[in-house]
Amino acid sequence: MSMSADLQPVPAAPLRAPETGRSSGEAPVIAIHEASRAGLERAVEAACGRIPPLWTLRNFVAVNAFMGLAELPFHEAVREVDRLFHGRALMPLPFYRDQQARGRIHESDLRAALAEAPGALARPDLAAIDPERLLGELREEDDGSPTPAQRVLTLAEAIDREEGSRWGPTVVHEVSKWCAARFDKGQAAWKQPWRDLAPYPAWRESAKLDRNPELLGLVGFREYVASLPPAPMDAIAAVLAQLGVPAPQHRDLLTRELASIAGWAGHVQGLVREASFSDQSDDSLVNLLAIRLAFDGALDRALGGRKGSLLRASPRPDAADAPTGRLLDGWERRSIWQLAYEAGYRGRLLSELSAHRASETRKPPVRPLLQAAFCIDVRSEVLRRNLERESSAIETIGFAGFFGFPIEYVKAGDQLGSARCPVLIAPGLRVRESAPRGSDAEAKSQRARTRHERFTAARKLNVGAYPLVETIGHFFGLRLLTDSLGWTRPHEGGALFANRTARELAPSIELEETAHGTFGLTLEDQVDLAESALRNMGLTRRFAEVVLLCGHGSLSTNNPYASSLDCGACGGHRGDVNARIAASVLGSPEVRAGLAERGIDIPPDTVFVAGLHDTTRDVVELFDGAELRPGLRRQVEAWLRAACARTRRERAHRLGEEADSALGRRLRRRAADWSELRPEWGLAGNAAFIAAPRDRTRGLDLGGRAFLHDYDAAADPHGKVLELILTAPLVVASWINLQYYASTTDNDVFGSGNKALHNVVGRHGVQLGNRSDLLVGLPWQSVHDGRDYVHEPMRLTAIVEAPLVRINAILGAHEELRESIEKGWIQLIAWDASRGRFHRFRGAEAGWEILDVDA
Amino acid sequence: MDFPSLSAAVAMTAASVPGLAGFALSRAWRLEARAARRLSAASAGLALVLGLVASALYALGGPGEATWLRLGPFWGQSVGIGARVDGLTVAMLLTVTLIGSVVTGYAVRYLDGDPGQARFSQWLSYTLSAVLLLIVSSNLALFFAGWIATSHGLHRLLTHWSERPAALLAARKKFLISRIGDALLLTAFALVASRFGSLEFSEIFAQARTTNEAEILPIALLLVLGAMTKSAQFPFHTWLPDSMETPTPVSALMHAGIINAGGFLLIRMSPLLAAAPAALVPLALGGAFTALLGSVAILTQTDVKRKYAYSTVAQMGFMMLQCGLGAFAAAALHMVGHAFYKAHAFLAAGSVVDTELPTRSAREGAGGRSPLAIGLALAAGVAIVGLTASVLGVDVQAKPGLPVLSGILVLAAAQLLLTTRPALPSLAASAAVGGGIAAAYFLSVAAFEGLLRGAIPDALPTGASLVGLVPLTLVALFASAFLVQQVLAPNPASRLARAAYVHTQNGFYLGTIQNRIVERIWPLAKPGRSL
Repeated sequence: MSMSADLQPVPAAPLRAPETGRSSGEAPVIAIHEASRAGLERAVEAACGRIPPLWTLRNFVAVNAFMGLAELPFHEAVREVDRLFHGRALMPLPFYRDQQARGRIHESDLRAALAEAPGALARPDLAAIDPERLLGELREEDDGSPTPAQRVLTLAEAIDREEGSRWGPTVVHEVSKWCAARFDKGQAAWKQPWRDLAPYPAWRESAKLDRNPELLGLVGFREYVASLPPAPMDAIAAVLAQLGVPAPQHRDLLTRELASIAGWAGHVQGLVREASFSDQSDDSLVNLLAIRLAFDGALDRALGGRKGSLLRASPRPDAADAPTGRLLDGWERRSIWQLAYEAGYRGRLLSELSAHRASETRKPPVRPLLQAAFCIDVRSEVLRRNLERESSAIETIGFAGFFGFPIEYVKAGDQLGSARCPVLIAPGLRVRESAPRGSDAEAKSQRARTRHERFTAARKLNVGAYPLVETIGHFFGLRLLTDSLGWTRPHEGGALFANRTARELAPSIELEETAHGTFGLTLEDQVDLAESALRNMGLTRRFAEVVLLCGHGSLSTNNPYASSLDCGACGGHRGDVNARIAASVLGSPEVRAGLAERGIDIPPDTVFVAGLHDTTRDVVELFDGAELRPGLRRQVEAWLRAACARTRRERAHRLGEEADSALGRRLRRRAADWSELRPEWGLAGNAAFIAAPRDRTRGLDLGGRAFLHDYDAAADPHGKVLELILTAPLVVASWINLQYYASTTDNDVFGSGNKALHNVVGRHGVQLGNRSDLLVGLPWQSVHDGRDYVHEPMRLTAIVEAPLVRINAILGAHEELRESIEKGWIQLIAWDASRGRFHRFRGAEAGWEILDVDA
Repeated sequence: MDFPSLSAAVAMTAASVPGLAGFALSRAWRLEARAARRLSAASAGLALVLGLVASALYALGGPGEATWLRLGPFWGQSVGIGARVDGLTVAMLLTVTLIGSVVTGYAVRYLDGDPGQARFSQWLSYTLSAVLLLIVSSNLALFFAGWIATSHGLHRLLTHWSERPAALLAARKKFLISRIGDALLLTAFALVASRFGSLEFSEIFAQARTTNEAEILPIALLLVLGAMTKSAQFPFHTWLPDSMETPTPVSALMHAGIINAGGFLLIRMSPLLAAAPAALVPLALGGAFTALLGSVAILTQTDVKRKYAYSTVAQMGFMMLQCGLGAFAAAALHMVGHAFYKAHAFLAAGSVVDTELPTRSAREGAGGRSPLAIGLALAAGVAIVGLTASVLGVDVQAKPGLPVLSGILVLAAAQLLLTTRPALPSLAASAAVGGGIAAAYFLSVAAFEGLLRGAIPDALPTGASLVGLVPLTLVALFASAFLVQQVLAPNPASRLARAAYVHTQNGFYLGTIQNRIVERIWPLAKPGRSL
């Protein structure tokens, strides 16, 4: 972002009043010492660091909603989340009591939680207390909510609390209105001027003209904005000085200012993050902070200039936490219930795992007929289990769904592409969609696109729209019917692209130079990627006759959140592209020759086939694979069909469908239904991450709740593969897990609320109703079925079958990973399968503790 | 029973079914969500089938009227439960029952799991019946009952999530504007009753021909103003862009059915209006101004639903303009086409992410066009429209309103050419599209004239003094909208354009000002608990 080049944080220098040429007496004249300026910059940086990035709807990737607080232990973060984000990171007490009444939380779970509490809550004193007394407190029938008195408030919110006004939402709406225009991606035909300026100066220009705030009661708004310094840092300093906020409160107040517009702040954080990938610095978020703070300054000025004292008032003592003779406050009681809730699941999971281990008798075939690799996504677990039931000649593998090919994919007719890899890495290679030689599919899709664009352009005419509505409008009567019946999809271009033309298009790995740059992979790239993919997958010998690389994606209609149901490892896209690229690379004789030199011998009769698991309908579609023996292909397809049918039946009841013979038809209908807000449940229910050989879990019903990553410690003597698993797939899984977690514990703050109120803004995000902040997280409909939560909010339980020394070495080398476990964001359990033991990591000092498992 | 009275009976049944089954029965039985939503969708589907039957009977037997029950007299007027089936009834009955079936069906899954779904489905059915009632009614009393019930039902739907302050504010704004409209209409109807001694449409229309203009003018003006409040005309349009606090199916029904009530009233009363053409002047100007306002505001909107709302404002303005020009058939055509188009747009509003093509920076920053290019495009537009009209044998001068509407077709064609890549094949394709649209337009208007024969006046009396000024004003208004898009919007550097952008984005502050007034009249409760 070069536009911000001139807006680098201003070097510490005495601040002067702006020379606006008029009413300079009104301008805040302040002088700041260099030391305090540096302090302010640190506070600004810290505030910006608290905001997690938000991805656009096109590639809606899960992100840890508490990312900015991850350096805190979970039990402290819970309080900070409430104080700064005004959100709940634990369920209310009645929820947990209800879970106990339903038998989901047992008395023994509560006792286990109490035993954990002194460490997990940093309350060593609790260890000496009689558990009965604590249990008594946990059972008390209040809801344990802390009063909001300790929350950090923006000035607008502080005034609202004093006076019952609605300045908070008003300011959010005004900032959002401006952001929506600034960051619009093609909705408005008339673009906001000043796009060449950085956000804050651009906003200042438009605010000087905007009468809406004044009509809303912000008297003197335009004049006030004109009097503000032109650089964002100076403006922040000026407003803080005007409000008289003492330096120690800066960080919290600034954090709250951003958190009050967390959606747009997250969007901007995403831009900052993108810029940092190309080693550019971008201070857009500081700009946004200045904009938000300026509204508080204007509010103060409009209401007489003495409102700043509201911010200086020390937090009032919290009524709920006032001495009541209790040992535990509301958050602690919730935390302990949460530990019990998690202990219940963990206990059952571990005992199932160890019991299953004992009953393992299967003899692996010498050479399997089919090896099918699926994404670690929890939805794969169900299909894998059902596929393996089909035949002992089938093996399945769990691996990140981009299959080790981090690419940027450019669709036919496009110039820019999208990243098809986990968000933790940047794609290194570009691959283009193209048609086989002799096919005119590319030209056809190009023409279809031109037609579509002409049609769209015609709809955008303002005067032209009138006669257009009278002539083509009537066809929409028919369209209403066909869309309602699911015969057509409302997506206008859909019909043009689907079907034949699209089928002929495929990713092309061939190296080619075009006007838009280099596409494709060199042979060396191919061999490198193939080797690391196979090694990390643990597939270096015993190749089956058919190796299926099965990505996944979700078909839904009229769903702004469609990409949240797609493959996270492919950057919120369907996984077919990566699977097809991987399959064609691994099928290439040159690549195989290269691999042979590196010690991986793929038998000549092994065929790699790409597939796509549609998780809405639970069907698998195979691509390519023409070289497969016809009989074998039929066999593989029959296995997949049968496995899919069982998967559908297994999932039916959660979707509220009958598991009868018409189920497949109804699920197809569901995927095509434009009014369906719950096409499928996505990753709802996710709770565990298991890195172990498939033998440990084969045949075990994990309920579609576990990320399954294949890992064979014996084949990984140096721990390289394990290191990758713990630092990449585990982190991505934990982000997904915490996104579902936060969207469940507080859907209003960390989720995106009711889908029936969703209103797509700027073509990249969603707002609620008339106007709101940009929404973050998952919709209410993604975690709740109207009667009950479908997702159980639990932190991820990661189970790894590997020697402790090896895990220790990795934790030693990766501080961030170790801390996220020590601080309770992920639970790490090492599984010693040979002795049937589970060890839980308690931290660098406390080391590992043995977990008791009920046999 | 003959076909015409049978078709009236079937039409009345179609109008009643959603209200009786979807609303009354499911409330009386206290149905839970699953049953209530199914009953709501089924009753709307049945209404559609009955609407088709009524239309078939109309096609076989021609227009009909029937009254089954007379109540009263109240204040000297008896009120009949009666239906009137003519071309206008048939067009609107089919449009609204089709959209009603789609919308109630859509709501089945869309609100699944919402704790208020049963209540929602019931009020949706109630509102649908209310709209249908005002369409089929054969007299002003029943029409007014439908009019009030529509507003009542819509208020319940707009406040479905009454815990949302923005929902309440928008609904109350709508509520207050609607009451203004009710007062205007009630006065108009009272005048009708005293002047004509009847509230029956057939009776009123029969007498209107022989009544002098001065006596009808006050009635006509009140009707025009009342219609403008209902169909979101300036300055009564502001509630519409703020009505996105309601579930999407409501938006679809509102923009496709309810909002048309004002236009429907005017077309229904067109035999009366034709007797007082002076009342059409403010209608044409108001409609044109609203269309201009909406079509400029739409350019700056960043969220899809508000964009659709301003689009509806503009389209309703255009429809009112057509009425004001006496082009009632074209207005009816517009109402139906827009209803389908907008219902679909709202129901498909979640798909705009699908259609996003972020990887193509198509024409962004293409800049404005030179005056020469604009002039050439306009000339080409005249040629395209003129050629199409002469090929089809349409005499542009002959029909009321057609000259102005042809002028707008010219602007549209010019605009299409200006947004086309300046290469011969593309320009030729655009010219062909423009000609096609013009042809389709002329043919559709002709078709609707055929359908509405008898329901609307054949021609307006000519020579009304003011009427001559109208076309000029209108073309000027539309030309300015055209210039905003071609000249102002592509020039972010000009001071005028910048200020215009900011004011336009705010909808010229009308909504904010009215919100403040509404809040003063009807304050929102202070916020309660905040956790």
